[in-house]
Amino acid sequence: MNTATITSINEETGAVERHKIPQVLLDDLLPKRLTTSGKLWMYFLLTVMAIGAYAYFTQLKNGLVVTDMRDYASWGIYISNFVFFVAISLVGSLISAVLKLTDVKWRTPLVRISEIIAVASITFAALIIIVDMGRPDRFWHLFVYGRIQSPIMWDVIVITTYFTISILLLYIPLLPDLAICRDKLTGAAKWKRWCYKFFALNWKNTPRQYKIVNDSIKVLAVLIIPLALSIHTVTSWLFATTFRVGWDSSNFGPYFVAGAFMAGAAAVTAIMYVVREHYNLQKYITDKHFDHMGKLLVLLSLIYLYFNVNEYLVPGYKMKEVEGDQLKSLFTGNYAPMFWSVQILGLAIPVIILLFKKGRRPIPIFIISIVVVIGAWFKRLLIVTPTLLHPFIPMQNVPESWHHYVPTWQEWAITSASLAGVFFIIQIFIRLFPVISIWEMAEETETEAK
Amino acid sequence: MKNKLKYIFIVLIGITAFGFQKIYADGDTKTAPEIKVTDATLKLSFDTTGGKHIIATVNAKDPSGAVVPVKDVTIAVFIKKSFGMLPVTGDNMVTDETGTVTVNLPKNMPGDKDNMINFSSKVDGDPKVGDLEATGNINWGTPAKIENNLNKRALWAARANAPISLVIAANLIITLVWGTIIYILFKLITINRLGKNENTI
Amino acid sequence: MEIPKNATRRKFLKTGLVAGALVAGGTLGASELISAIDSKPTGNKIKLLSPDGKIVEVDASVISPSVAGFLVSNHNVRQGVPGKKFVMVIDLSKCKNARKCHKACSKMHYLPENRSYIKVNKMQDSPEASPYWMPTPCFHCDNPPCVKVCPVGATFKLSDGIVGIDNARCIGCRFCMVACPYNARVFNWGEEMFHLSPEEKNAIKPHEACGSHVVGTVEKCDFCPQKTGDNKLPDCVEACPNGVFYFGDEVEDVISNGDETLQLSKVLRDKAGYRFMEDLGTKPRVYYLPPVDRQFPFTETKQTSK
Repeated sequence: MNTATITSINEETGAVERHKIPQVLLDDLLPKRLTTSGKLWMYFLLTVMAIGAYAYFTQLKNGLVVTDMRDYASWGIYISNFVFFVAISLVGSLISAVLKLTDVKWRTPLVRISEIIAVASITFAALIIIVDMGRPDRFWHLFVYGRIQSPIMWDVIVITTYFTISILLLYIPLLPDLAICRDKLTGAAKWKRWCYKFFALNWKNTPRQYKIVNDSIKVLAVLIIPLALSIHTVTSWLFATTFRVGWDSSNFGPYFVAGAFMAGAAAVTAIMYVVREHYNLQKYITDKHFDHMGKLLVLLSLIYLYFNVNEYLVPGYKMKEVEGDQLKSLFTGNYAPMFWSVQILGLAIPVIILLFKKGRRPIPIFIISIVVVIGAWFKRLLIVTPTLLHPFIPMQNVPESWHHYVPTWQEWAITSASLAGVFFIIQIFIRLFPVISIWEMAEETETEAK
Repeated sequence: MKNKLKYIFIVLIGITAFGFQKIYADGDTKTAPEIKVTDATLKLSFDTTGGKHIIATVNAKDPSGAVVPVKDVTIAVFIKKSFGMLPVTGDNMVTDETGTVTVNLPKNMPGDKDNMINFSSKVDGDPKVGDLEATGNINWGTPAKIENNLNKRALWAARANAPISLVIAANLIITLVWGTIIYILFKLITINRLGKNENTI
Repeated sequence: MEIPKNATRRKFLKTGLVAGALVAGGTLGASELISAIDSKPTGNKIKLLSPDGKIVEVDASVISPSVAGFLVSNHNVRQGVPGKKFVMVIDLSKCKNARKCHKACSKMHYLPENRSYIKVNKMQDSPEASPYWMPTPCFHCDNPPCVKVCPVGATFKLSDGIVGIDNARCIGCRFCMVACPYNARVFNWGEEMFHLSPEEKNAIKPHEACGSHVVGTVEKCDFCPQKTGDNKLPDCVEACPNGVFYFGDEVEDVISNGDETLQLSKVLRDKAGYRFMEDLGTKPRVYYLPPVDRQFPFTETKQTSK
């Protein structure tokens, strides 16, 4: 019973074939203990999260007055961070659904990483929106008094659904691997062994079990694509359904979705580099993968660039009164340094570098991906804040500080803690479960051997 | 029933204590060969000949005790509303020889729920007749359009009144997607059951 | 109103006793507080806030609505005045930024002086045109974008046209604030945004405990329901020395600024009344009369901000 096997059905003969999983796969891919640097990283994340928790405590005690949000800039980095997390979470559907349905073979080692990134970031998207609420104690009002007319309600529904499907898309392909963990990691702590056994759902490699898993993944992969589109489209509607300058755009849905795919692809590229280097997975996550992801990132960046041109050129051509002021603040005003850094460093230059084969080698693409992700974060700040500081009736008779939005330490601490939280979930997951699907890799080597 | 009545009038009379004592106070009234009057009354009546009119009439008793109309009394007529008295007379409307002032009903003036309009007329510190006040109401109001659109289905309505298309679309999508999710969850139970029952090779 | 006389008197006496007890100290005469409007006996206990800050619990049935509105913090925000459609007309030709509306609003709503639900904005339609002052309360739109987006129905349209807020339900997501194109809404970011010291309270003497400030929830102009329900003009209207604000009932077609009473439809027709940013389709219940034939030359007023 201790020999790990996988089952496959020969497509021509219909015969059930059973293969032993190569020992090398098990050695390489079964979860490993934390190294010293891994432990330090965990402590660091926990410290950041503790500071964020303290900051949130002060916010709960005193109200949102601890932030720099006021009556005009009434949404701040909590909301832009929320949009960022929703955007990142779209990568799950990109890798595990879009690439699956388009039959991209090289995706296998990336599926689980991207799915865990999706689950972690959608979790913190939901948490950060509670942080943004003035009355988090009334969160239950959403379920008791919810109005279907409100885009926030749509967002609540669609995020809950996306979260559930992402969990399923993470969990179902994990079943055979959980069984391998159950059977192989007999030396693990008792609670872990109990977890593996419980969550493996009596997995016994039977052909019917495999069929259910494969069918379910297919169904979910089809289902998650419209959901991924709607989760970010609905998030864009939180802005586009208002009259505000810069948000009042019918372009916003696809603009957000395009940006999300780009940011998500960059995030998964960056994280897969760290995972590969830290766990010595060069055999599985090869330079070829970075090359492919680089090409994909170029494509997604160009699509996003196209939407950016639409989003800024069209209103910029017309220069309506208040919208013009807002655009000027971005193009030449006080937001210009951030705006042009984001557009040039976070969008234009990555496209140029990634067009070259050398630019798609692991280290350059890792650095570029990080820049793209940081740019994506600030891009969302640029979408939220300058608009709110350009109301139709000019701001008058308000304290000078209300004319600007400079996040306070509490906002930065809570935002950093949410980012740390995402990394923390990813780290915990990698510590407990195989970060690359063992059974799918075995299947792949099997197919290649033929 | 009320409509069949040609005239409806309710007349209230106000006579001030000082009103009739002030007459001929100064010499400048010499030009007006007026007689001292007492017991002045102000009356509001309504007339529909050639349009709807409100007629305010001032009468008083002359020294002989006969009731006579009083000329040149400034009268203001108002419509009483929640937040104020809407003047319907122009500036300095004074009574003619018949002691009356006639004003037209303002266009499209709504009444209360029975289409009643409450009028009030006032004589304020007139040298001859002092302060007088009369009120009256008549169902000349254009029907007030109180539309309670709170019961309409709209995006801004309460959740019970959400647009029906939105409710259907939302429920349809939620049912389809969550139906699939529940189906998948049942499949997981099947996996568990298969593992219990089927023997591995 | 048909009320059996005895019942009314008894209610009046009972109310008088309660209210009299509450205003012990005699800063306010009980008779001013009471109106003999019948209230349905509810059996509910109502918490009253007496002027000296004590909370007293009495049965709801002994309190007439206007008294409840006056003293009580749990005014039913979801109930409109039946049969009315409140409307406001602001005559821009008369405004000279006296800011008395602003002050009265702060007082009425128990807010510090630098905070109020009404703003007076300097506006200029084109570079050649003279600037003018434009007061902006909440427009109480008939197609309100703020109400549309509220996820929990904490802001809603009342039958009398007012857009109300239920501070006991608001979750503080602030979507309504960004949805309002006029920035009419303010947020209780923290207690210091509205809490007054006892000295300040004494100085301001808020005459109606209207607007219960709850940290983490949204507030805005409410057209002073406790006053308008009793056919009294809202405080900003009363306070304006220049008669800029006219308030009234669209059903009655009459508006008043306290001194002058006008027919709404006639004023709007004759004086080219307009609504701010009509093209947005929000259908505001606040109209403006254009700033023509100004009563005051435009002068830049020193603006105070803290």
